[in-house]
Amino acid sequence: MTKARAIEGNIPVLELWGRLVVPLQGDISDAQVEQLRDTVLARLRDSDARGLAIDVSGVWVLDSHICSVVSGIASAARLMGAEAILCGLGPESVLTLQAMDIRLDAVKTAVNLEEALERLGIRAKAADISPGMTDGDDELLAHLDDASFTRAVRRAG
Amino acid sequence: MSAIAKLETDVVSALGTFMSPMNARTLYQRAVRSACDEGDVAAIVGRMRSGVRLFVRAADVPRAEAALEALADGERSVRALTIELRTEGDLHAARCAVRDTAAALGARSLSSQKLLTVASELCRNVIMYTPGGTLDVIPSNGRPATVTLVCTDTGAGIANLDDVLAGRYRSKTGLGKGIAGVKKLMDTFEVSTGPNGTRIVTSAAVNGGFGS
Repeated sequence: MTKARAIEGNIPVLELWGRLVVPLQGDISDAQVEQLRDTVLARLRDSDARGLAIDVSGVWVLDSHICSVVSGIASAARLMGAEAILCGLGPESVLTLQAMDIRLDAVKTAVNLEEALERLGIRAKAADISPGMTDGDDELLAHLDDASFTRAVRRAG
Repeated sequence: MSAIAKLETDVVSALGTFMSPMNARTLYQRAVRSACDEGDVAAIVGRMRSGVRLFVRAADVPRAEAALEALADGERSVRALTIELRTEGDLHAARCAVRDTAAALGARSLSSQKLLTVASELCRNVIMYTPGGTLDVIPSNGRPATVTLVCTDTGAGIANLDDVLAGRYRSKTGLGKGIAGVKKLMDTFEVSTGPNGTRIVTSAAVNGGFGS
């Protein structure tokens, strides 16, 4: 994580194949969370979106507050008839939350965004793309968050 | 050559036996970029440790880590840090301080995450429910190395402390388990609270197991 704050301003709510995707990054302020919840509910009302995936892999620290906030958004979405899935919790976050006895019982989870989208009904038929590292990648490596960096290095073998 | 530029050169040559210069430089840049204080050699070297495990063959890891340690020697005194807590923005500073202190003590990611989460819980309580306070992050380089967090505030005190610590209390906004969770996670935990404020002192060994 860098010294810079996370996204200033609105948290993006993306729409992919009729599902809403919310990528949470870094530190998120209470004001941003409120705005996010309002945006998500408005989009569920106004679009045909039938599901919501909240990806927390970019959140720096998952404490009880952010868990509560994310659960709240998921519950609100469910009240509007949309399925909500939380994804991107890493092993360290999971173990820490468990040890603190912070439960996310009310929210469905998936290990990553792909699985979340599958559970929301998306079926992928991608051409076979083998991940590899090209010459331009070393600049990018310096800017990745820790989890992505580790995955990139491991994939390169 | 500035101290920081010299450090980069030293890092690349120290790790050159174990990985390519390009990888060594990438690791170094990532460590510097994410350190809150670019001059904090101990924190930078600490941040590089996990990267070393990724790039270096398992058999070579101890020697590579020793090479890194040699660079940090003389910078070994890990400083205690104090962070003022008043607004939401101070949470970030508090987390940075904890993260860098843990890294300088050689914490692995699980241990670091645990300390970060605890600091987050405590500091958020101060910021959300009190006029303000401070967090002291106190490292100890013993065997095992430990981090002590002292969180004080000038609020009105924690009502229903027994219920809160037993996990019985549910707050309106949160899950109500912040402090109870902290107590479970850390090795030691003391809280004194009253109408003039609250003081929580909690510590854990770096890379220790999870508290019961």
